[in-house]
Amino acid sequence: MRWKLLLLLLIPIDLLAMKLMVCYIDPVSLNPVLKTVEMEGDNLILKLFDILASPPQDLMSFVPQGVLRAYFIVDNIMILDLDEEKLENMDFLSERYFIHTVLYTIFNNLKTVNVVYFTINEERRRVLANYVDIRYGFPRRIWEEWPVKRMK
Amino acid sequence: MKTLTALLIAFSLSLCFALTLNVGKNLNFEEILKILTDLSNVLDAEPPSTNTIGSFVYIAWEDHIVSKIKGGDLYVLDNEPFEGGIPTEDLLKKLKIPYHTRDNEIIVPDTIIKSIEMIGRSLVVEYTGEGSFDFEMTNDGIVLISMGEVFFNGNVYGSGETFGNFPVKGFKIDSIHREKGKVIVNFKESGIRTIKIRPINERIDPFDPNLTILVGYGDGRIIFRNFAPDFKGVDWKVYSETKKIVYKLARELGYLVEECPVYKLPIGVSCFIVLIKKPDDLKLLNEYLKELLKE
Repeated sequence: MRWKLLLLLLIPIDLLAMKLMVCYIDPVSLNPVLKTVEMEGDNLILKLFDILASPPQDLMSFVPQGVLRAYFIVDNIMILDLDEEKLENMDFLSERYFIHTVLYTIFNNLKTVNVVYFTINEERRRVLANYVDIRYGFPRRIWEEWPVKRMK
Repeated sequence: MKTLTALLIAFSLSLCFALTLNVGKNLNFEEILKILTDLSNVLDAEPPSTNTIGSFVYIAWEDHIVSKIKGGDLYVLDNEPFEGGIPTEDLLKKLKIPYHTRDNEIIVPDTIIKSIEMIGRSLVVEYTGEGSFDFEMTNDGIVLISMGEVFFNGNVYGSGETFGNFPVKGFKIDSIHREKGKVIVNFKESGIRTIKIRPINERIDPFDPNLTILVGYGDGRIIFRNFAPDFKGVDWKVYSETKKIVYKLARELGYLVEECPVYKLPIGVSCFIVLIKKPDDLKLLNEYLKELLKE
C-alpha cells in the first residue's frame, strides 16, 4: 500500500520535470558533447544558462556564468539580452563557440523558436564583443545542427 | 464606367500624394483630425483618438493634445491657446512635422527616410510612409530619386529631385527587394573576378570585384557567413555560391567548415576566412582556388 502511495506521489513530480539537452565542448577536439539534464520550476531558460556555464569536469563551456540578463519570446522570435561585462574577455574562438553553443542548445530545446537575436545590456549592438556580427537574426535552419562540420 | 475608372484613379492618386495645405489657414477641429490621421500613415504612428470630457472635446495624438470647448472658438494645443483655429504652420511646428512651402502651399512629405546605409554589398533604405523614391545607376554609382515628396536629412525633395548618391563603380543593380518600410538594393560586379588572398587582420572592401580570402593560422578550418532572416532571401544567392566554393575547398584541404557571421566578412559578398594549419597549405589553397574558379 505504501509503495503505491509513493508511486502516486512521484508521478506528478516526474511530469513537472523537463528533460533538456545541453551542449558542452570537448576541450581537445572542440566537438560538441550533448548531455541531458532534468529541470523543473520557473525560469527554465535562466536555469539552462546556469547549467550551460557549469560543465562536467572533463568538458568545457564557452558560456560565462551569469551572462544572461533577460530573455523575451515574441511569436517565434527569441531575444537574449546579455551582460556586457561577462563578454569582455572573449577572443575570436570564444565568441564564435559561445554563439554556437547557445544557439544549438536553444534550437534543440525550444521547437517553436525559429530566430534568435542578441542584445547587450538592453541595446542592439554591432558585435557580440569584437568579432561576431549580432546585427541580424540567427536562423534555426543553420544552428539546429552544429555549424562546424568536417568535410568527407 | 468611365466615371468609375476616373474616380478610382483619383482615389488611388490621392492615396499616394503628399499632404498639401494652405499657408496662413486656420484649421478647425475636423481638419486637424484629418491631417493627424494622414500624418499617422506617413510617420507609421498610431492614428489619433478623440474623446469628450464635459464640454471639452479633444484629440490625442502621440504625446500631443488638441482641445476645444464645444461650440466655442478657442483651441488649445499642448497648453498653448489659439483663437479661431490653429494656423497650419503652428500645428506642424508644434508637432515637429517636417514640411516645406512651395507656391504659397505647405507640403508635408509622403515619405520620411529614416536611414540610408551601405551594408556589405547592399544598399538598405529604411523609411516610413509611401516609399516614393526610386534608384538609377549612373557612371559614378547609384542615385536615389524622389518620386513624390521625400524628407531626408532636414530637406524635402520634390518629384524628380535626387537626394542620395553612392559610388559603386564597376557594379550594376542585381535585384531590388521592397517590403513595407525597407528597400534593399543588391549589386553585382560587371568585371572579371580574380582571387585576392589577404592577411586576416585586413578588411574586405565590399565593392572589390575580386573574390577575397582572409588567411590566418589556426586548426585548419574555413569560416563563412551564414544567411540572415532579416534579408528575406536576398542574401541566399551569395550564401549558396560561397558555401559551394568553401565546401569544395575544405574537402580538398581536409579542413573543417564553420558558418558564423564574422563582422569583417561583408554581407552579400563572396568571401571567407581560411585558418591554415601549416605554411605549405597556402600554396595548395592558391592552386585549388584557381581550379575552382575555372569551373
